[in-house]
Amino acid sequence: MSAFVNYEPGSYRDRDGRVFYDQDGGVFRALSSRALTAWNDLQTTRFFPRSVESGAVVRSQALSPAEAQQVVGFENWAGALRHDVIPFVSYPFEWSFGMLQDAALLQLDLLGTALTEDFTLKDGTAYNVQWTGVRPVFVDVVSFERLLAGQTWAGYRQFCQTFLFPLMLQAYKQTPFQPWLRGRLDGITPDECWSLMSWRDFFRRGVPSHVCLHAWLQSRRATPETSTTSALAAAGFRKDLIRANAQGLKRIVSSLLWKPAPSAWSNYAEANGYAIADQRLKENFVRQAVHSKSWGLVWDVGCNTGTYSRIAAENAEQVVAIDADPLTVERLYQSLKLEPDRRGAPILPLVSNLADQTGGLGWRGLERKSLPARGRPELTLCLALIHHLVIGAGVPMLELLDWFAELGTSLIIEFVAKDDPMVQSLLKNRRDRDKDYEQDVFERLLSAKFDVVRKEPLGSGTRTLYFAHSRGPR
Amino acid sequence: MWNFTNSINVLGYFDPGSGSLVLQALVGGSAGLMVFGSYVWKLVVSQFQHH
Repeated sequence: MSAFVNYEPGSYRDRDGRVFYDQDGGVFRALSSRALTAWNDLQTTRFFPRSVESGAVVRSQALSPAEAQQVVGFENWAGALRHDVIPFVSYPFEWSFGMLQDAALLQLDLLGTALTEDFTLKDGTAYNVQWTGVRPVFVDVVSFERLLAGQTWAGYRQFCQTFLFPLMLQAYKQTPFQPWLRGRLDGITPDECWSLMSWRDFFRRGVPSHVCLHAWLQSRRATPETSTTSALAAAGFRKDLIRANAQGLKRIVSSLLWKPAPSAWSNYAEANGYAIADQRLKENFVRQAVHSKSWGLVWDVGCNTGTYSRIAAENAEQVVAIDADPLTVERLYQSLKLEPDRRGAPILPLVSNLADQTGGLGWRGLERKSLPARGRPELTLCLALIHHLVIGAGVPMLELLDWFAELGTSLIIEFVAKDDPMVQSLLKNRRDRDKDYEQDVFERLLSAKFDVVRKEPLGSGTRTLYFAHSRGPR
Repeated sequence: MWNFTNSINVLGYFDPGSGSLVLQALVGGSAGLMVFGSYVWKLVVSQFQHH
């Protein structure tokens, strides 16, 4: 264990606990004396060990005083925890509707069980949840604290802004929440949410109170002479009210349903016209490449139905299945949830567009990191995607291959020629500005950065698969 | 001198951050409404005393 304290830049808000890493990638949390007392208190409860055992809360272990001294001794910390490592960190603006919904229900369940033993959650942000495959895990263990008499749930507004309103936006207005959450890490404010609703929405579940009234109350400007918390406590506020609120929120969140119109990608597998023989060839090619060695982290960019993510999972530690289409990711998430006994690595589905990637966000631009900064893949699957990036999004082919090379990843990539029907449909209404989008140019650029170990044309004659290893440093 | 407008505009005394806290009483069912009523009553009384 290193004595070097490498703080997580995104973990600065809670002065009582701060996440840091050692040089081996171990994840720790430094605790103030207050947080250490709360942690010890938490160990005496029944709900907390049960929640850890069920996988709902990240497993954490207190370091011995000597270890803690070694790790955080030069800071004013009273102790430290070692957390189980989350395989790949993700953010709510990369989750699908069902993922955000399940994460919200997890948070409400934990609040409900904590209340039974007079504990509460001191915040309610969606960023406190991470994923092991398709299973949500609550990671902010210092968020649990003893509930004081008359105390309200301080995380209620955060819960609304980062869970409830984004889910309502998608369920009631058919508007994907991801760009909204990405636009502001604190989420959608009550007045913004209300301004997006019509009067018809006023009659929808949860809108009159959690949105309309919330927005109106938040718009009041004058300040009372005493603190609202103390005044509410004096008026008789008690934990039954938090419990009733949490139960009500749970009913609302569970009832929210996204009924999307079919997207261009959601029926891609049925509509893409692959000959079954080509499909088999492609699966065999990917499987052979995947089984050529054991892989750590694998990315499947443009994952669609996740067929190849599942193959990659046969011989990897972790697969991140990425697609720009929220509906595609939602369907993959729901299908993976129905496969609890699937063998192989966990598969984490994420909504992300490679041509519009998330850079550094938040305080100092370091709070929320880019995909590569959270884990570079050893192997990347880029199947039937390159034409969308180069022709559709205008990314120069050279830059795309350079980006893959800089990741230091091995690559299973499919080149789709211009005479392929799918490329033809892309070119139908646009000027063909990519004169160098040709197979020989692609192969020259690929060979400049990668060692191509295998190449196989598909029977269609317009598509070719390549398996290549980056020559760049990892 | 106490201004009557203040009493009917008593909900104007919430600061922006406190709206979410007060709402937790309102969404807490009938027991919550009683807490809210008591909260507002005390706020009104404190305004009387102040003026």
